[in-house]
Amino acid sequence: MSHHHHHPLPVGPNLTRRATLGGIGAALALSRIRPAYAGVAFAQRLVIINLRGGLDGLATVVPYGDPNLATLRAALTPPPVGQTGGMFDLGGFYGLNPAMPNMYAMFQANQMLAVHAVGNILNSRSHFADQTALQSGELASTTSGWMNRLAGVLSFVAGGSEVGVVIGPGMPTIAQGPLQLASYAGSSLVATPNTLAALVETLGAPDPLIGAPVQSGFNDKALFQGWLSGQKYTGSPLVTALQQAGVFLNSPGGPALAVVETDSFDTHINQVTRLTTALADLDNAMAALKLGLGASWANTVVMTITEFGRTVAVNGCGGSDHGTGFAMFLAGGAVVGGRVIANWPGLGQRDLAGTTDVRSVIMGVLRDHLGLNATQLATVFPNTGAGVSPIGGLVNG
Amino acid sequence: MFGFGLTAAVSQAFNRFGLGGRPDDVIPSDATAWLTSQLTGTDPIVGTGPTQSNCLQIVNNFQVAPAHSAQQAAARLALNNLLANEQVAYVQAAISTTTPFHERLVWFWTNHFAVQQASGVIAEGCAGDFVRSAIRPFVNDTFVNMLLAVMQHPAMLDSLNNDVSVGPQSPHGQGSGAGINENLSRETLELFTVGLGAGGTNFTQADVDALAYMLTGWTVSTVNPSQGFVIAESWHQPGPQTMLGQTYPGSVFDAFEALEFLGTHPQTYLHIATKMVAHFCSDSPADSEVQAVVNALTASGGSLSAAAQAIIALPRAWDVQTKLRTPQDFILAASRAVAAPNYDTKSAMLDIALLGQPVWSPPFPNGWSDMGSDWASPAQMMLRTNWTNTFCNGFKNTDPVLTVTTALGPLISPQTTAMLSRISATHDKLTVLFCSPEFQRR
Repeated sequence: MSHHHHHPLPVGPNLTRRATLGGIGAALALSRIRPAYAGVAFAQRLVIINLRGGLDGLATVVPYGDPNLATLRAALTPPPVGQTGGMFDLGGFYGLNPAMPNMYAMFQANQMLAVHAVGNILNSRSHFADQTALQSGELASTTSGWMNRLAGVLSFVAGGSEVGVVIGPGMPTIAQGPLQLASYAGSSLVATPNTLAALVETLGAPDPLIGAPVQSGFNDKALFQGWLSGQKYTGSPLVTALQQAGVFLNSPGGPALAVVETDSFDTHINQVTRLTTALADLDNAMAALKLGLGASWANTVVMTITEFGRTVAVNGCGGSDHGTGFAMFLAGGAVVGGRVIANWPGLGQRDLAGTTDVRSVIMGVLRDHLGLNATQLATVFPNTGAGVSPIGGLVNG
Repeated sequence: MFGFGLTAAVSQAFNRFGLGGRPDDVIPSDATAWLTSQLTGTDPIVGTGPTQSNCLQIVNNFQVAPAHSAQQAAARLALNNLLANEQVAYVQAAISTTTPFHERLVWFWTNHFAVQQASGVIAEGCAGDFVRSAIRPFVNDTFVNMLLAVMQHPAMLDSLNNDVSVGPQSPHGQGSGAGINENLSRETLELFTVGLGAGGTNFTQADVDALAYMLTGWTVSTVNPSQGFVIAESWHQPGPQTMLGQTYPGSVFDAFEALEFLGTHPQTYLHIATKMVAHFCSDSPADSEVQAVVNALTASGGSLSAAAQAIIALPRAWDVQTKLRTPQDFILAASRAVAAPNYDTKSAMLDIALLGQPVWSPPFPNGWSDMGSDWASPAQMMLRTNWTNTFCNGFKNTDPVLTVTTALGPLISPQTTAMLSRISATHDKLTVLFCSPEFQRR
């Protein structure tokens, strides 16, 4: 596979200092003098949006050109391209769900593409087992998530441990592991008096479980407040979370990676109504993310992931049940968009077959966007097996 | 005086097995005996509160009201109030209970059989009744009896969409084109009973389909609120089904037998024993610990009190502070430590949501994680610090010595003791206490 997109990460002048800070950890971090993000010395940005519940790719990036679609799932398929309220055409075989005009505008600007018939690492039809595989990035281990390992690779190159930020009150599997990633949740920055906060931090810092999160939280507090103060956030929780993620990634010295989870996609009943609402929310959130990213949009890849697609046939309740193959979006100024990529397997079975491994897509982005070499890719996605290799050409080289 | 006789074992029992100490606790002389005493008898809350038919009537009032009418708005408000009152009552019970081990088990099993109240109006209206009538009466009964009660409860039937699942070859299905919804069937196998098993080998898609067909017709009548759960024979898929090697003839009652089979299955005992050990001992359950609980379940016909008794007997259940408190655990324990008055309960309920665990609203039917790694995040720690700082404003006249003893007793660390000794303001003492690493754990 061609490596002509490959651009090694520029290493900032503060590599040594940040590497030292990462190495000796607690004592220096406790000083709260330096922002933890000072070391992210490259411009590329990656946002992962985890669409939990199993996004119905067949109703989102609709393969209207497949001859079996109309017979198998007419009730779940939006009106045709060209009709009022119809799908947006994505090049003659696929149509975008009409709830996503912002994504369609990105597609038209060649800044959005979809990959279809993507297969997860595990295809058990279980939300939980499949999410664990998707987020840990392998079948064998759940001790760390691939975003955490990616942050490890990037922090080694660029310095600074907090190259990634999670938006939300918990820590998803994808971000768990040896490195402490930053996190933010609405109202987590409400004031506690500084003198009292310092006592809480001092007491918590040495703790093996909460020490690193406590230090990270207190270290980043003023920084986050400053970053977020430039914009207003009035949208839904998802819209707000993605706008804030964009602001973080666009801030000087801000993180390079962000993870946001949402969970509205398990559409067993009344799918058309529920999915329309959820996709419209996602579409608004993509626009808000772009707003938040500002100038960094040009250097960003936004990637949606989900644990599985849904059954081809409609179930008994105007919905769909757990399937396998799914669709992903890649958007952002760094994406070579305006197309749908798929090794289309056809419809007819219970499930859409996954013909492209999800890791091939992610690894293509990590290699060509973030500059990871083969060894680094193998750190992020170990044990891929022979059939999984990075897809080239997804991003601008 | 409180604190007299508060041994490390009793403090551990309060925190690990209970929901945190209260200043008005009667200190037991024997921690194990105190726990064991909570594994018999009836739940004091069963039979209180709105009845299931009260709840379903409120649901029905909403369902029959014309869209966008004043009648519908009023019915919506009544439904909102019902849910909020039920959530507050649930949190209040946890803050005030004198049998906190029992109450923790109520919360544990409620989370195992997680109803997502926002999934439908029946689930929303009946989520409180679900705990009262499908969980509480069975916490000291057998697992299979709890499973049967759960599966016949309107809240669960709605939450996982079985109330609209129709056999395609049933009389109703043939006429309407309606079909099955496999959601409840899959999660019954995967989450409630046998689990996926190693390599996902415990059941197949065919087993999911078979149970879904057997459950067709298990639905809810809101038109007649006194009925609730009904089996609509005209929705039931005819013909035999085979699940996990067992063949069922095609009767509308097959699902009862299938659930009895699943509810007493060795893999089910393994699955629930693993979850219990993880909840009460460690995020990394040891095989021998799980086996001890499996043995107790097997020997007792699936008695949940026998399983809980086996947990108490595990040495690691008495290793202190090995479990990180979840957001709900954290707020409940702080509220108990200062005997937060009832009027604060609504705040506690909303704050539990703010910290990430809205009551009866987990994002998926697997409920909330109790793994430390899922909650030990910077944002979570900041949320807890800021919540505590605000919360403790309400307790400036509390005796901090009493609160420290109540909250941690002998389990407090020398570092926390030393820091508290250097703080004068009660508000600040309480804040540091509740933010200490020890209090983050149970």
